[in-house]
Amino acid sequence: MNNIFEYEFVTDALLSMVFLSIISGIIGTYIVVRRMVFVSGGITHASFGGIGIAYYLGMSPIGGAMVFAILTALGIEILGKKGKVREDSAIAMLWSLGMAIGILFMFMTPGYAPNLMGFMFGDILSVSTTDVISMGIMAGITTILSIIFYRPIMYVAFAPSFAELTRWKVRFISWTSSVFIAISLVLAIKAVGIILVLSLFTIPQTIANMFVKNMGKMMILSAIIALAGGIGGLALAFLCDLPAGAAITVELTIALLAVKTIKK
Amino acid sequence: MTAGGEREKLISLENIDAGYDGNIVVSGVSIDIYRDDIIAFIGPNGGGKTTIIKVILESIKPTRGQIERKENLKIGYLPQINDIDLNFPISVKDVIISGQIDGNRLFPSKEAKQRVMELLEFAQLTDMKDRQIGELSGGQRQRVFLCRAIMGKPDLLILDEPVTYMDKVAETNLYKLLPKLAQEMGILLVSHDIGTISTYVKTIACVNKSLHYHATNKITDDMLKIYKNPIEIISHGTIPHRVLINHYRQ
Repeated sequence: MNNIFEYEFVTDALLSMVFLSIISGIIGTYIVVRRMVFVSGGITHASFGGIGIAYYLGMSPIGGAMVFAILTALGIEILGKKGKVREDSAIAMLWSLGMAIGILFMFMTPGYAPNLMGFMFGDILSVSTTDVISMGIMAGITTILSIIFYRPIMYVAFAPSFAELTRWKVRFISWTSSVFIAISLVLAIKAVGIILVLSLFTIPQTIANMFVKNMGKMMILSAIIALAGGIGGLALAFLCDLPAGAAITVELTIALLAVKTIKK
Repeated sequence: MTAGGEREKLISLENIDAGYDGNIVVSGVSIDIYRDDIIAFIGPNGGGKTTIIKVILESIKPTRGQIERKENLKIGYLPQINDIDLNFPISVKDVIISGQIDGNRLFPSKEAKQRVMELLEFAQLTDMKDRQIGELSGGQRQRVFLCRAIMGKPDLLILDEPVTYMDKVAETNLYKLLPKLAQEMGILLVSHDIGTISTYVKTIACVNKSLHYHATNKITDDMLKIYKNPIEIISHGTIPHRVLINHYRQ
């Protein structure tokens, strides 16, 4: 049997898994502790609108998704705070609007229909070198910023109204974090797909939180768990010819249940 | 109040109107707060106690009136029931450090770490310093938030209904920390509970919607006659008073 690392797509997939684990460890922890999972679901799904428009215009789908994701993230913040719309309603509206726009534009795009399944469920074995590099850059930036701004991020997430009194730039920190969430989620779409992204940003964090009660440690441990789950899922996908994203999600969920049972 | 310039004035509100979305909640509020003060704001719910606090904290702008602050006035604040998530992965120590009134500091200084240890000792929480905040009892947690409020060595400490949902023992444990703090800072305690707090405070201000500050520490018959105040005022008894009372404007 050939050494599997000789295939470039395997090393690319592994590398992207490493970077995604770092990103999801940090950003996912923030999402979970700030209880922004539903917001993140909205952002991820709404980004599909950007994919549709990008296809229609013949542009980069991930670029389109990125723009939509960031606009949705900021839109939810603004609608919730200024528009006096209930936050969960705002999320649901943008969630379905984004998906609808995506479908409409794909429908209007002449010729061959794009690989919908790829966007829905991801295809980590087909990530390009550019994808890997962008994930690497994002992982680097996220790591550095989260170390430097660890305390402000934690204080603002923990008690925003109090943080405001102690003169932290609460709104700036929240908005910047939202943009980071949007970018991270979109980068992960390529690997695990719109429908499965959230598993990578919530399950490892939930497992980690059963062992550690400190935000920094939770970030590190969830990155490790995400990586273990990711590599396990990749191996399973490679060996049994299964879709990787789904394999990773199922595997992480089983791990979560196992830990929950044992820790009782 | 006491004449003479020895007392250090922290903040002075003059003829303040304030409220939310155009609805005036309190009007005509005037009060001076000094560093040696331990004042209780008492009055019914919805009477505007928290609104005045928000004005002092600059989180809402008054629609009328003047505010004068001591230069670089630092205020510590213990909010009424925190909107916090008890599952949040943050330790007791880190919660206290977050009270540093210095938004530009990314990492705690050596002095800050030292101060946290002193505060933990002061509030008898040293054993709990590494616990996750949700693992503490309600009373212990409120003492943590008190430490957070005084972490930045404020000139004025504001406690907004600090003992809601706490049992008597926890309540006493919190209140008995106040006299020591009062040596260093002015204290403003908001409560709807008139009875218990009287032992811990020097003066009392009554707050109910339409307000006026009387520069006296006793209720006089004259005052009652002029303002036709509701009877409740009398029930505050023999404690020295600063009175913000319901006005019947004529």
